[in-house]
Amino acid sequence: MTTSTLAVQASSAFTMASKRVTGALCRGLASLALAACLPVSADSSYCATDDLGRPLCLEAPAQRIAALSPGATELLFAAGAGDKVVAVVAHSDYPPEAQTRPSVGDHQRIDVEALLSQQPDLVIGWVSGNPAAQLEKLATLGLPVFYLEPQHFDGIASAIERLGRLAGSQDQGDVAANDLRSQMTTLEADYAHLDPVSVFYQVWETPLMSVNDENFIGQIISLCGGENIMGDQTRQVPRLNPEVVIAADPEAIITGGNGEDNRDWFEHWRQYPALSAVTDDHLFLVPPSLIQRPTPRLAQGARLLCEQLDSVRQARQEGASP
Amino acid sequence: MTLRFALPLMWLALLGVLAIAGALLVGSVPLNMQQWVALLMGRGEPLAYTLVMELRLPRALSAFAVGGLLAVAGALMQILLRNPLADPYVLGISGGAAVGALLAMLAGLGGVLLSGSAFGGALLSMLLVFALARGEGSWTPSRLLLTGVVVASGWGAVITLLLSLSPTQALPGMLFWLMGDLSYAGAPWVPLTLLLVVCLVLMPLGRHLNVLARGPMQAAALGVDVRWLSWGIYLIASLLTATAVTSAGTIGFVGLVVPHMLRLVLGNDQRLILPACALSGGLLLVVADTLARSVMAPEQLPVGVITALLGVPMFLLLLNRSRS
Repeated sequence: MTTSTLAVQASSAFTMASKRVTGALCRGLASLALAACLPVSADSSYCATDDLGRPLCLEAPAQRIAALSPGATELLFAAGAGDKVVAVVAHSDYPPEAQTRPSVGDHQRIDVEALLSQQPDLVIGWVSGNPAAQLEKLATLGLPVFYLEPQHFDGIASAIERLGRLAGSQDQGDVAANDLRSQMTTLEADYAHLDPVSVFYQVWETPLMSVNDENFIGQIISLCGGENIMGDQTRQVPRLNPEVVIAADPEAIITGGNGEDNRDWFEHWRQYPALSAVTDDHLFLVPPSLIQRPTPRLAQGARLLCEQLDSVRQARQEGASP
Repeated sequence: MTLRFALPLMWLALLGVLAIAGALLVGSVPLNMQQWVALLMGRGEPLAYTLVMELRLPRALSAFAVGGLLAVAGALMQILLRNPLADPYVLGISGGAAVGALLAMLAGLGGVLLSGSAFGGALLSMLLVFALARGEGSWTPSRLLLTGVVVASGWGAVITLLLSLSPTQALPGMLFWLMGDLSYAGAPWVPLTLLLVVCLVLMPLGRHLNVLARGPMQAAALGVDVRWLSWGIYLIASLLTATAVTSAGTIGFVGLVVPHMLRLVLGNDQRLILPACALSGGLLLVVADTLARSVMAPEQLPVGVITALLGVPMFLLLLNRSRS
């Protein structure tokens, strides 16, 4: 693309915007539009800042929301806006009700036509999952796009709050967000100060992948009083050689599993009986949907992981005082 | 003579128009007769207008332009390298574009800067191959081909390295540059204009290209300035490929198979083959893209799958018929 094509797009965005000012969007490519919105945002409660730091204001709560990631769907339902979700993407399987909503393709390749035919008035995009070009296209067609990429528990809680605000279900959103925060705070108070347990978390088997401490799974491990042996890796999801696990000899190995209850990955570790986690049978599974998705169900996954680490501590005490 | 050229080109042009019309008609949202009439009268409802004018039309035109560019670039590369296996990507242009795009993504750039970086990568790769293949000034098709293939493998290694070191977030966007997808294409005017200009530029060169296709020695003996013509072709083919890759990623197969199919049917006269490539490459990609976005809707298939699924049997059939 060249400057001229951008100019064409920008001008078409402009005509589109002026053509259909029916919408309540206050965001666009032009900063002019932003400035024009500021007075509204000051006293309107349908305003929120997305994970790219861009403010979005709606004149009225969104009524027809398209969620372009399974996580966004789950967050919208949590925020009390489930009945306003009119379009989802493949693999949006939670809550079960989400599966009844029309799908507009895979998150990596959106069927823009099918999306437009649902006539959404708000699109929840996924910064790292959706093609940027397609989200920009939606914006040029005059749709407000709210970008999400929740990183920490607090990011997830705040995403629920923000979605609640945009959908006009602020009270429900705030309750769900505070509930998540308080669950995480309780877990932290209960477990974070206990004796550290060294942990290897396995995201995938071939290639062997783990997480570092920046990743929210890494944060859950520290919150449960665990010590992630891959915590100081530079990449969030490092690809590893099994030797590093054998060398570090963690007390517990926790896997996501290829499926919700698939323990096949344990077999690989059982080849190495010298590993403490294998000798003591401290191989655990946390269903991936409870821990690998940035949604409020993370609290359940975190509780499970904390309990698993605590069972390692108890076994250690029993071993010390027979 | 003129009729022999004009007739097939007119047929192909007609089919191209039909394919674009088909692309406008087909989509995830069916439009009924009334909506079409209203739209054609200029008072359609906003949704129908957006679907047809903002989504389907630019995408179909982009597909036509990109397909045409790739087919012409492929035909030129095959003449230049005197190798039937040559395709627009054989000299590493798509690899250069992908590396440019990936580096821009890692730097957090988007939009025009991203496309610009991809185009820059393609040009860099082109100049690199040019400089390396030239060496001390001696130049042969095989030397150019080998240099290009090795540079292409080098880009492949750099892509794999960047992919394995970069954060996972960059990956989904990156796949586009490796697989090709028209849903990302912007406004079609740049590739369309280039396609038209290049066809006009190549038209008077047809005779020289015919001679060159028989071999550089023969061409030189017949008074063609082989060196300039070769570099000219190289430059044009590279620019076409770089533009195609920048607007739609690396779409395989069109550039390799369309020129061969046309040669099997129409004979090897470049004056006819090159414009025919522009039309049939466009035609093939428009049809393939329409299928890619509609057969499994709302799931969108990568268009490269469809070009290969359509092209392989067609090509094998023609090859088989031409032997008997």
